[in-house]
Amino acid sequence: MTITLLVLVAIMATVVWWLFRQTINVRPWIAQRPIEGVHGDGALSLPSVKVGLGVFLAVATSLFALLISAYFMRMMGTDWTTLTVPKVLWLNTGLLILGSVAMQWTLVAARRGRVESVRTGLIATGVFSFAFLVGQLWAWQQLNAAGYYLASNPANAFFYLLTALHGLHLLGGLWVWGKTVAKTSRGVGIGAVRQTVELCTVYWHYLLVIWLVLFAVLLSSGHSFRSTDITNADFASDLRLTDHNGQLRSLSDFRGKVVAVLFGYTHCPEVCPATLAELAGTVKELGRDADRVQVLLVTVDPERDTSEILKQYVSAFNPAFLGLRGTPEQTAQVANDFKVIMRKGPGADANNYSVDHTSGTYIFDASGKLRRYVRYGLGGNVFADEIGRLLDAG
Amino acid sequence: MSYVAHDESDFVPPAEVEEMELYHAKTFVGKYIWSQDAKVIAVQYGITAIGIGVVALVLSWLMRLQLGFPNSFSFIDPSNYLQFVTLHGMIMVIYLLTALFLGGFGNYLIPLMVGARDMVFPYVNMVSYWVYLFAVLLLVASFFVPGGPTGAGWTLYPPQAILEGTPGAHLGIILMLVSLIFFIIGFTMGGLNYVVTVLQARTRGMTLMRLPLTIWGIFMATVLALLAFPALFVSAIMMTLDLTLGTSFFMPAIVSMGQQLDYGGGSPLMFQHLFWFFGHPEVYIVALPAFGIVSDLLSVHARKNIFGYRMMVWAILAIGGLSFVVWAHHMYVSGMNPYFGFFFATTTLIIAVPTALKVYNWVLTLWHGNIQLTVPMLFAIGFIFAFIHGGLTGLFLGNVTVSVPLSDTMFVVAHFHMVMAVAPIMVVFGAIYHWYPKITGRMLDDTLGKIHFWITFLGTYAIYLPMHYLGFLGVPRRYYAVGGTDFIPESAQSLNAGITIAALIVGAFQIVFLYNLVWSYFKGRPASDNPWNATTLEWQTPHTPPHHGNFGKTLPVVYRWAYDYSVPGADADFIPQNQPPSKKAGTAEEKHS
Repeated sequence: MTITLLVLVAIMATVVWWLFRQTINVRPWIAQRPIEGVHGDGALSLPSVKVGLGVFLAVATSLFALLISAYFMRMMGTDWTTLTVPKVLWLNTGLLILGSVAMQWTLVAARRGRVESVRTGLIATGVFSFAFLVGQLWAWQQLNAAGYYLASNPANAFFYLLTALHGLHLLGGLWVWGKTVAKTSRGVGIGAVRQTVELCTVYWHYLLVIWLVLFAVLLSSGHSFRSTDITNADFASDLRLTDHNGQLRSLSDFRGKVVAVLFGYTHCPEVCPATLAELAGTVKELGRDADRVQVLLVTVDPERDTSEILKQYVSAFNPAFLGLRGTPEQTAQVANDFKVIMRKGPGADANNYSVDHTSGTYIFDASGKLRRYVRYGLGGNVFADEIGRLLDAG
Repeated sequence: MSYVAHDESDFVPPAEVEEMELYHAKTFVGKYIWSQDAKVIAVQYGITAIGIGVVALVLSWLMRLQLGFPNSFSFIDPSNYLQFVTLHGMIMVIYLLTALFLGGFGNYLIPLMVGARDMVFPYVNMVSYWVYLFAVLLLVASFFVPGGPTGAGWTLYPPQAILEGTPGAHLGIILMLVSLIFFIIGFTMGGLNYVVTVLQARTRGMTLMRLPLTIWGIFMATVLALLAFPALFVSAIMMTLDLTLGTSFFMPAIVSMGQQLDYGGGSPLMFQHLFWFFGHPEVYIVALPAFGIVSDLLSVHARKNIFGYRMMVWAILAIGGLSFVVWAHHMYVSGMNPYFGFFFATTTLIIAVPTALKVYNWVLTLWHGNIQLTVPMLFAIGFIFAFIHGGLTGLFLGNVTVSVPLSDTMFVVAHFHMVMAVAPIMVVFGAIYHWYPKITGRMLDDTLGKIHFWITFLGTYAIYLPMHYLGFLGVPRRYYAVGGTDFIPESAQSLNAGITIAALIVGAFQIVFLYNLVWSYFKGRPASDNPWNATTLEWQTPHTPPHHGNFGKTLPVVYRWAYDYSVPGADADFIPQNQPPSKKAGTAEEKHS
């Protein structure tokens, strides 16, 4: 909403500035004579249609500012996957710039009174603008073919929505353009089209600016949610704990696999099941590569989490996941190695308490080297991206 | 006291504003159906808005019947009840008040009061009305589709608004959203006209600071609406896409009726931000025209200049600006950063300053005035009462800590009905009684008007004062039936029954008003050109009702502000805006400074 507010502040500032120029501070009950000036009534010296266009552009600006605000707000959602912007958009941008240039050229011709040039210029503008629209449709087609469907991701939905609304605005402009072209081909004088040409020029430039802003927004929105690269960290080199089948495990047992280590406990109300579910989803998506990934849950509550309970719990997410357990001292040692904080919270009685603990996940590559730390709440996509990338690399 | 001397050279030759070319309709259809005359369009807007408003009134009766006498009516089930609540709110706020104030009064008064022949874009103005009518028809159509209209509440919060189980979750909500989209398109067309006409088409001598406050109010409200409605437009489009094409703009991952839906990750809070970014300015879109009109009514009928004209204008501008930074006070219970809550509580309380300033100025305009208790004046005074009461409870609700427990109780219902329903409706009535003679050429009946006023004024108090108390007791809003609870005493039900009876009476007596409108149109006492002895330009037209083009051959020239009432030494107790300064020194031209 900040963007919208900034735009509104700009619009309001213009209004207030203009009002003060309009002597908003005179005392009307004293100032009796008509105020001298261009019109005597303080109207703008522009023709009304131009003022009307200006007001409409303010409305359209509000519309696009709100959409961009919504875009950034929605981007904070964890399911946002930026789409790869089709290359053809660069071509389209070029076409729209050419359209704007042609319109400007038409305006100059109109001011000099050259009817023939006006017509040529208008037709050039139309050609470029229609080409732009066709290009936008082509971009849609490409995206659709690449599997970026409208409903499959909010980034796609916004892409289609923003381009569609911009395209509709351009179509509205082309309607006026069509009427003007019809007029020129009926051979009317320059006076009859001059104002329309001026209005169209303003509108085309405006739509170009809006498109450039939208395009920049669509391009700039790379991954805003990433894991933290901790490749050269000198902690968490290994752990030695018993797995839920009673086997002593260390990280070297999983050489050749990408390993995700997280700390948690079976009574965990929110963080642990959510993260495990995301990891389970990621592993499932991998298909045949699933064998090359190992998820390890280190319990921070060895008192309640027996091997049996741990096995039941972890296997529910994926039978291949392993729960690791040590004595309280061993657990504390591992936690210390991993710079993980764990603290027993208050509870109603000895069997009913919570354990606060660091909620992120460590990812090791196939050679057993610590590579990534994934904060809690970034969403399953981050796991999929990171694990996929490490698998590709190794 | 200061004295301003004038000589001939100060006078401006009349009609130097460029004459606009008017479309001259010849047939009946061209004059009254596909009309491009703002006055006819205004009446079209007015009749449509009042017509759909009557539907909303009946819906409120049905709601009140259920609340007052739970489970006594077999034709009201919980789904119906929610549909009544939703449509009542939506119609009253948008399709009645917004359309009537801006489309109705805006169209009628702007050209006449600024001294223009018509709106600057008459054709667009005509299309605006027909798009509005189409939006209304879509809304009405939702009553007749399978599942009925939407029952999501007038705020249409997702995810609930488009989920199975909410009444009208299929066709009803789609029709609602599409109707809103069309309303906004239609409004934008009209709004462009109102703004550009005020900016560009003022007659010679009509500076901004000589505009009547009615025009200031409508102008600022239109600016707000033009900038705020896009937020509703965007959210309506996004929600339609969520509903029809399965996008997830607003819809989070959700299990509905035991089924995991295909949505995921969407943000319902984002909808609330967008909605209230429109929704709060909407309050002022309705309030500012009311503020402006009531200022003029008070001044005319108290025969006294408006107190603090400049302050009134500045207050309108300040309210307009501030209204964009208070929206989240509607979302205190939606969960937000406490610092945001603090920020929005602060801005909300700050907006009370210019508002209170206006209230003081109205009261001071009455002070020592030559008060004529005409029907418009009664309604104007009624407005001051209702607005003060509604405004004061607004201070409670503006504070986070007080708002949270009161939120979603009847207290909120009472608050916003006082401030946003009763107060503006008082002005609507006052304005209709005031301008009806100009619109039709006949006066409305005075006795019927006074009956209408007293029943409406006392009746609405009988409805909403006890409702505050119900809110304090904790009676929740939007509930079909409360049933037996520990914290709500039995007596609350008697109070509810009483409120319902009052609502039925007030509603029924609106027939008196409608009857008065129709009867007076044919049989009313013929009105003179300026029955209230008012100064503004619409009363100075050569014909009543004004012909197409408003001012006959030449446009008026404005020499003074709109509030020259009871000027010491003047011949009459009012001096029209277009009356040139007289050369009789020391009489009409003596001014308070």
